[in-house]
Amino acid sequence: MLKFAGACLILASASGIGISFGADLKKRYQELRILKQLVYMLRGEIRYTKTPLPEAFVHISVRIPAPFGPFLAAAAAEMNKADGRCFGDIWRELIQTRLSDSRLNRTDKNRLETLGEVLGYLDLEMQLSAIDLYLEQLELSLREAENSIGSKQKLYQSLGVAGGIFLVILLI
Amino acid sequence: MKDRDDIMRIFSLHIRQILERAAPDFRQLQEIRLRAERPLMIVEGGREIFLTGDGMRTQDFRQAWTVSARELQETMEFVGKYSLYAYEDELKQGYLTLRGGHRVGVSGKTVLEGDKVKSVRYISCINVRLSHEIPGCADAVLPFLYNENGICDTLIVSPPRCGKTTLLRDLVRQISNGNEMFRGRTVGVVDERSEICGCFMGVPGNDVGIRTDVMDACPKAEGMMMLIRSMAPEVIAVDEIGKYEDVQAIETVLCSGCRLLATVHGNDFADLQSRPLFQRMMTEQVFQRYIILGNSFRNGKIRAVLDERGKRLC
Repeated sequence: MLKFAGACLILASASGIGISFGADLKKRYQELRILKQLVYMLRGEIRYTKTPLPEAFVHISVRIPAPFGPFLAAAAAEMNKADGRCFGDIWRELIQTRLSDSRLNRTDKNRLETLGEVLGYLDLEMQLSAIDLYLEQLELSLREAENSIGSKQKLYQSLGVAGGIFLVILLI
Repeated sequence: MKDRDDIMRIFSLHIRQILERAAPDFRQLQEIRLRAERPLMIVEGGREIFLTGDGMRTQDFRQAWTVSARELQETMEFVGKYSLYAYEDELKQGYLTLRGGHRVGVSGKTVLEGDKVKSVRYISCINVRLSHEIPGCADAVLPFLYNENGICDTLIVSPPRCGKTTLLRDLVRQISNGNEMFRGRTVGVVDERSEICGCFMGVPGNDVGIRTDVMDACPKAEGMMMLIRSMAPEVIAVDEIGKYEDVQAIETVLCSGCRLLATVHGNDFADLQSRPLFQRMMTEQVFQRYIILGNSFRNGKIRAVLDERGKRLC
């Protein structure tokens, strides 16, 4: 009886891990979509009203869900401090601290960091070009994330269940 | 000074530390000049002072701190709130305006589009010119600006750095508020460079009176017409007229029955008469009063107030 209960628990947790990995893929896709929305809004603020970054971040932060809303609000607050750091450093630090719980992978975060390197000091046309380039990269990531959901989600779930069964057989 | 912290925040960290240690008197401070690979300099009370790396004052430029290109670049990032693209139009004119109406003049390598300046790249000189509110500095001239028809159309003539914008601001404030002798009037200000009112997000940071409407960061000629159409001002105030379209707009303003307060760069009445742009206006006696300022304005003195014929009133 005890063995049966243990086997059930192992099976359940292994399946849970598989499902959780699958859910992470979906979550990453959703976060990339929010990021795309954010960058489009930023592009609009820069293109049509030439709003300075701190103000634009505050405007956008109230319309974007976590973790990106608080991330932008924190960026605006740090920029207003003007404590001697360049924008690239502020942006990079905040990606590490404020987006540590996000499901974005290393490549996504690297691309976001690169955007921070070019934001701010270029003229309007170059600013918009840099944002457009980032949007293209984001589009590629989104497509890749969407494909991953289709192919890998089921794989992770099956692997979780299969791994659980394998562990149960091994232990029994 | 209320904007002291805002002004300090625009400088790179090390320059900020030097200025903190030097503790200049912000009421007297007129300029802070940063030039790449040149000594750090301030102008306080009309005197040039060099600052050393420890924030000590010196008259020997060899002991002064040499400003690096990196420090200039950092300063520009803070001036432009990490968003220089937002100030592209202002940079084309060679300056940015800070909250409070302080002007940051820049020079460097220009980028041309056709034969017009598109932007300024590789900024190598920054001049922070502090704007000072001196309530009451127009007390001495104000009574001369009224005649039996009310306020006279007035032109303030002054060389740069002699306080014409400060005087105009106080005139606007006093005419707008009114006093025991003269009722308050609706004043429209076209503040092309945001220096008169020091607007931040459209709201004046300086006291420009209770009946004052401000068209901020708007070209003078267009702004004057917009104000006449929308705000029904009794008096319109503009700073630094100098283009043909400004003169045309002034003529329209005067035809609409508004009174005009304006400033212009110049030395004296004769200097204006010699300029083709102003010749017709002076012949037709468009302005009934001319206030002539000189370097002595900082000591509270105004060189002269003249009538439309150039006759001295005080």
